[in-house]
Formats: sequence, C-alpha cells, structure tokens
Amino acid sequence: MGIFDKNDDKPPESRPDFSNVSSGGSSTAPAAPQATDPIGAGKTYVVVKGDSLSKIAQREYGDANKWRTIYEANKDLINDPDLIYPGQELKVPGA
Amino acid sequence: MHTRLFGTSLLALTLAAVLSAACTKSSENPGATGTSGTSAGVRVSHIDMGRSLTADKTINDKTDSFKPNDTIYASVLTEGTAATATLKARWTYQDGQAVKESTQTIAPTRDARTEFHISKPDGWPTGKYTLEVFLNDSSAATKDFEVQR
Repeated sequence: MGIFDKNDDKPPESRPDFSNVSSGGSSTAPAAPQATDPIGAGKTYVVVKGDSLSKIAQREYGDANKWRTIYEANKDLINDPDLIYPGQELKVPGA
Repeated sequence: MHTRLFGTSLLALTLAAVLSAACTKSSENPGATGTSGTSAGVRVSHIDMGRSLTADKTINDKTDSFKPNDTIYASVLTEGTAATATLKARWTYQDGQAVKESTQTIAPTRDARTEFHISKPDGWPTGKYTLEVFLNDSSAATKDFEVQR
C-alpha cells in the first residue's frame, strides 16, 4: 500500500442535489404586460408529432413559405430548421 | 535617507491598496438589508426573509436561520414606479451551486413587495446559502441565510 492510497477509503464527497427544489412568487405590484415582438403579439404553438416549420407556417399564416419567420423567432430553441421536436413551445410572431 | 523615504512610500501605498480593496468589497455586497440597485424609476430597498407571509407579502416571522423542512420566503421591497421591471431571485448554496432561479415581471405603481419562495420536499442540506436579487438583470441586493438542524 503506497502513501498515495491513503485517501482511497474515503467516500467521494457528494454535492447536494437541488433538482427537486420548487419555487414560486407573487407581488403586490401589478404584473407587467408581456413584451410584444415588432411583428405583433403572436402566440405560442406546441409542436406535435409530424409537424415541420413550413406546416406550422401554413397553418398559422396560410403560407408555408413563412416558416423562416417562426425559425427566426425561435433561434434559441431551434438549431436546425428541419428538426423540431414534439412538445417544443414555439413563438409564432404575429399569428 | 532614500531607504527611509522608500519604506514610508511603500507603507502608504500598501495602506491605500488595503483601504481600496475594503471599499470595493463593501460596495459589491451591500448587505442583507442595505440599500441597493436602482433601475429606471424603481429600486430594491430591502429584503426580509422568514418562514411565512402576510397577505401584503411582508414576512411574518423574520429570520435568516431555517430548518431543513422550512419553506423559505424572501420579501423584496421595491420603491418607485416603472412600466415594467424584472426582479430575479437567484438562490445559491455555500459551494456556489445554483439552487434555484425565478423571475417576476412587475409594473409597480407605488412601493411594492414581491415575494419569492423555495421549498425542497426532502429537506434542505444544512449550510450557508445566499439569495441575490437582480433588478432588470443588474445585481440589486444580496442576503445570506443558513439552514441548521
């Protein structure tokens, strides 16, 4: 047994797990109105199986070619415009 | 002569550096209930902590020492008005680990109290924690508290 084996018997120090912490809040002040985008108030659309940006654009704007508007508004969520996932909440500007 | 003058100057410089560091430290951490950040027409003036709230969002039983099964409340007093102001509460554990972060966007028309609370079903690890409150993404106040058995 070498001198470097001395601490091997100690269990590793584990960090506390805060993943199940719940939070909340409220205020006596009125809630501020939600920020609007320059195109319009817009709405949120939850992606379902089989959706694509052009299908959503067709449904929301009546024009599949407007898929880029949705993509631009959701660049923080979408890495590849050909790849969206069921359950994603997408902003649909001006819809 | 030169040596003595050099020694005196060095002492003065060291003293100035220490004083400067002390002043910087105190402005970085305005303290538990101290005056703090201002943003537009609103500022965070006070944070209280405790285990329960009244209807007007003030703390019933102020404390900065909690038990593992407590729900921890923080009541943030803001002064002034704004069309919109974002308050963010960032709770961290003593090792720097993020505990929780939550945000409220308010439109205060007068002094207002905004409360944040956190709970953990399996109990809080004992130790020291910090709550940092941000007003419009600028750090506005901090408050330290601890959880003890």
